[in-house]
Amino acid sequence: MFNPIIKHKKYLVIYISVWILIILIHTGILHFFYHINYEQAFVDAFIFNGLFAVTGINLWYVIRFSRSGYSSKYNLFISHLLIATITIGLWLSISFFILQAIFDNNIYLDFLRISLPWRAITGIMFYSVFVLLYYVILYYEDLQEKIRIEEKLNTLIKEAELNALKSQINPHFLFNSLNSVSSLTITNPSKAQEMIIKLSDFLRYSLGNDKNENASIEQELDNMQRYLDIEKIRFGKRLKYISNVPESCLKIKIPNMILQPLIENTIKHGVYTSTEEVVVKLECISKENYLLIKIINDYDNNAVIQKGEGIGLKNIKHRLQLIYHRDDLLKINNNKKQFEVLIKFPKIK
Amino acid sequence: MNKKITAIIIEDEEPARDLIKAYLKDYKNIILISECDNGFAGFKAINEHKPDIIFLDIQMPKLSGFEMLELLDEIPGIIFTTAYDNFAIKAFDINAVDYLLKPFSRERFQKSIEKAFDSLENKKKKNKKVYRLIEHVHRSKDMLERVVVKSGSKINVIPVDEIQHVEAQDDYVMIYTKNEKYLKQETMNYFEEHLPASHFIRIHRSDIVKLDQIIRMEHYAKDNFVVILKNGNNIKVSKSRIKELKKELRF
Repeated sequence: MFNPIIKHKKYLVIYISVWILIILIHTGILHFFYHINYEQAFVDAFIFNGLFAVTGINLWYVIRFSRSGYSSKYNLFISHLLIATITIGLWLSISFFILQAIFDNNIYLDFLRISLPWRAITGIMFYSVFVLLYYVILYYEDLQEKIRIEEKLNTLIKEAELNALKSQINPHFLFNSLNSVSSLTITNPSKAQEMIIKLSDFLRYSLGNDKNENASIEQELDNMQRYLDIEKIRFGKRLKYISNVPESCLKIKIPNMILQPLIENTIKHGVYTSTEEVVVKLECISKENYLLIKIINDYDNNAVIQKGEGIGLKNIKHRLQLIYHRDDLLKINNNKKQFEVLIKFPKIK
Repeated sequence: MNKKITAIIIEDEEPARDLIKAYLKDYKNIILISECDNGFAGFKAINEHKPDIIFLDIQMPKLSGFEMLELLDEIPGIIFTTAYDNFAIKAFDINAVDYLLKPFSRERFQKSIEKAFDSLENKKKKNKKVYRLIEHVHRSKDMLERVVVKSGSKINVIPVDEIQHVEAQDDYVMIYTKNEKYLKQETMNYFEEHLPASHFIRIHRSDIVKLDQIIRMEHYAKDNFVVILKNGNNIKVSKSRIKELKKELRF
């Protein structure tokens, strides 16, 4: 993280101009009020202010690094006091010795000594202005960062919605389901009606009438159940779904539509590719600090092609990272017979 | 439409089979002799009953409709029933006896049946169509994920990962896996184009090998090289392919 003043040419020009102005004013005051000749007044102003201009740039790094390290405001205040004392002390002494080395005019040097307390006060003022300025910049940067993350999150949610939409439009699910409905209208009209209602409810939920970021486990599970019921009609005994979700988990909120792609994967990689019964298991375990969801499906290692897999999981991982700022929440176990996905949702207090 | 014809349904979803059965009740001259819920059963039933037409789904577990067709010696009239997207439908457009897009109406189904009767009158024409269909699959740029091979009445599905070496043998190719070898009627060019280039390399007119099977490469005469495979086989490398092989192996 570079100092924003150095990073932008425009800011650097402004910075230097301000210091030149200060040097000129400083020179003017020394000349007109204290009758010091132009040459001495200018060198004095240049040394003191020039040094602080350089110091000020470096203060950025001190402030940036001290910002996150302190737990309490008291500690922060003490550290600033310490930094200010050292900075101003060094600045005064270095400037003083340089000027002493340049000039041997006693009247001027006496003036220099007498004026030191005033110069210290000016230093404190400069220091405060820098600290203030830098904090404003940091605050602004944080704000920008937050806005950026939020925007990214929104895009991802939109993508998830879009993907959900796509998966419904894909011929595998939607058209085959509609074909099943068409068949049931002849063989079992009341079941056909039931399936149409389920399909409608599923589409409505997935299309996102509810655009909130979170949904309760119960809502998500209900929607998954509708999806699985539809697939069950298509695949009959090839699909077996077992869910073990204790009552206490139902009201917990999780990011919406985050489980749906996982359950679709179990169908895609499990049921679509197997001629045998495939068991899809969902478990929900509430721990003290997090909620653990396990989704397990059998699959036939010989039939499943790994191609394409991973994108869905990567998206979920990415979304979790953005929401919880952690990248260890999604875990995958694959023992060539079963595919297990574990997701932890931290409980936020 | 006076002649009686025989039909088989090959479709993995029960409601979809039920629908075809329900529509077929309108046709007294079509005898449904079997329904199969996967490609293996379909292959067996076709060989056993030699039906005139089949209703064939494409997306089925383990053995797709296309893969099943590849294995057949004699191909009946095919009516594809599929929910596939437009891209795949283009393939049927020029090739199949007919294709039905799920869900389809009774009227649309009737047209298919009429077409099937028409095409049965000219068997030659029908076969030509199916060969064109398979050719189309060949031309597609999709990489292979598995290879199906028939040995006797047994069907073997070989995941591409398990293929170690493909060798030309006249009109056939021999496919070697860790423990087995399989003969398939296919061309080397087809395999060269459809096996993922990241894992396979053609080192000779008659040999494609999997890169991770190569233990080392040896000089055996001036400008002549052989590669030695994990299974102990030595295979000559064509002069024209040495450069490419060296690059792949970072030799």
